[in-house]
Amino acid sequence: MGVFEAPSVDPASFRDPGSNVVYAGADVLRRLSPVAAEHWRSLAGTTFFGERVSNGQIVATEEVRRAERRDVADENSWPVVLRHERIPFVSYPYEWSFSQLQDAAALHIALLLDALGEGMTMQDGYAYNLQFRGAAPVFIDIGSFETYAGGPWPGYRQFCQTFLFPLLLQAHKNFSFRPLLRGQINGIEPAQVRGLMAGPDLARAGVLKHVALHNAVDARNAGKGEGSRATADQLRASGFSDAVAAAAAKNMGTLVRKLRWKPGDSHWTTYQQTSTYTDAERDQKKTFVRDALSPRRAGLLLDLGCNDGTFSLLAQDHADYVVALDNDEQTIDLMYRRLRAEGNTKILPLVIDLTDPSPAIGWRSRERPSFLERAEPDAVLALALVHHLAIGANIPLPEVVSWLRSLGGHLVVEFVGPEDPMSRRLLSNKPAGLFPDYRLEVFETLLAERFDIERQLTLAGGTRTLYSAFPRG
Amino acid sequence: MPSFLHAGAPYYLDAGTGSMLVQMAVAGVAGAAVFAKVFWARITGPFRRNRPADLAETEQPDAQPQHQPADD
Repeated sequence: MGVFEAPSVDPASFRDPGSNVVYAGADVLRRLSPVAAEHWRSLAGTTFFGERVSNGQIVATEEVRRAERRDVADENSWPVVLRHERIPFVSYPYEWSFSQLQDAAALHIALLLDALGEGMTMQDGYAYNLQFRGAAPVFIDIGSFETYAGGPWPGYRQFCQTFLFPLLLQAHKNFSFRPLLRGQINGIEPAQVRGLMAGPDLARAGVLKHVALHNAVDARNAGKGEGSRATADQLRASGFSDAVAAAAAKNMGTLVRKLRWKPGDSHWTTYQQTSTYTDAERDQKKTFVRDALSPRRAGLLLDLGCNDGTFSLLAQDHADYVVALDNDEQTIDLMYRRLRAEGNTKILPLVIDLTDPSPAIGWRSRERPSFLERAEPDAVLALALVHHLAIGANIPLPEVVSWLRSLGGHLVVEFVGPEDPMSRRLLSNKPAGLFPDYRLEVFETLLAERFDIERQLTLAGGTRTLYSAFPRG
Repeated sequence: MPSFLHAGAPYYLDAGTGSMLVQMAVAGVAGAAVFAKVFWARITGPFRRNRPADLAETEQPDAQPQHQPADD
């Protein structure tokens, strides 16, 4: 996200009238209404809050002192202003792999249980309230916590729509949740997920209650005019207490954690084993990348088409933060789980198809900015990528290079020549002679028009050439 | 109410009637007592009214329970 000059309200921060996020200079601030301020006082007094902040699972938060408030908030409307730690790169659920969404969901439920244990609850259950710091989920919406007054969890529906249903579809039906979440900012509705579940699926974990029953009760009560507030009151008065809410949350947590996505091997998960270049070439490539990156440390580095993340791991020593992209979800899921196992908080793997990156979605198309609006890299790795764009996706070579230029950072790029086995494989799927300009000389000319080429190297096999280049003018 | 309004309503205003009721089932054993309390009156209500014929004619399965606890 860009740094705003004047204080500006986050365009996604309007649904909850009790609190909103404001950017002022480099600060991420949250303004709290008088009611929200009271909830904040309660939250700040709990044990779990301090613990979860110190282990990084809730965004680091401090109260801004009166003198430091600048002009972001008048004291009557917003008696409390909080300052949050800045999340290195904002990502959205439709860019996450199964395990990422699952871990985010599990953390959300863990926090709900913590809250219920100390007289609080969470007023929503929205996947967008979680972010990632590398391979670790972090909850960012402090305004979500409020004092518990009995009754069911108001965030349950939202949790189902943005966490549980997506996970169920992928675990039970091997149906990717990403296009659905990308298509609907409020997630998948009960009726929609019900329509995708066949009779035998009702026996699968979570489907009978959360999907079939949920949808049936929903349909039966739609348009009854009783109003959900009256239902909440009735449930509260009938003994829906914190113990019942905690039992429901506990069952949800158990369900979420036991879901598994079992796809077959994808082409890309075995890429390193099946790729055609030699160990010697791989070592040459690593040395080139390291030498290109090491003289100047990048803030944000994008690894485009990261595959198993070999080069992201290498690049993390030369950047504050690495965002690693691949369009193969299995590859990203595997990489995420490896990074999670080592406790990595510097590399964020995301499922992004570079030929169709996330658009801006939501109210006025401003709630969730597009991927390219969020990505302002200082350095870019584009290794073994160009042939996929130019040959695999028919993107004209000049267009590929000018797009790389538009990203604005130091570029380390690999050109895989048309005679390379990988290029030949891609070319074999296209009519002969379709890409007469896919040649090293053409690529190099296009590159030199837009970048200053600092160094280059053709790998031992002779078909792959690497460049380190800086954007010109 | 059109279904899109019901299902897509802003959450700070609407937690969803169905989504709240189903949580009794989600809570398992702990939710059973609440379930019994909420629905006992609804189930027994029509019989206590002693006017089952009227109810059948006007199709009011959602008639308010006789002993619904007062709000709060």
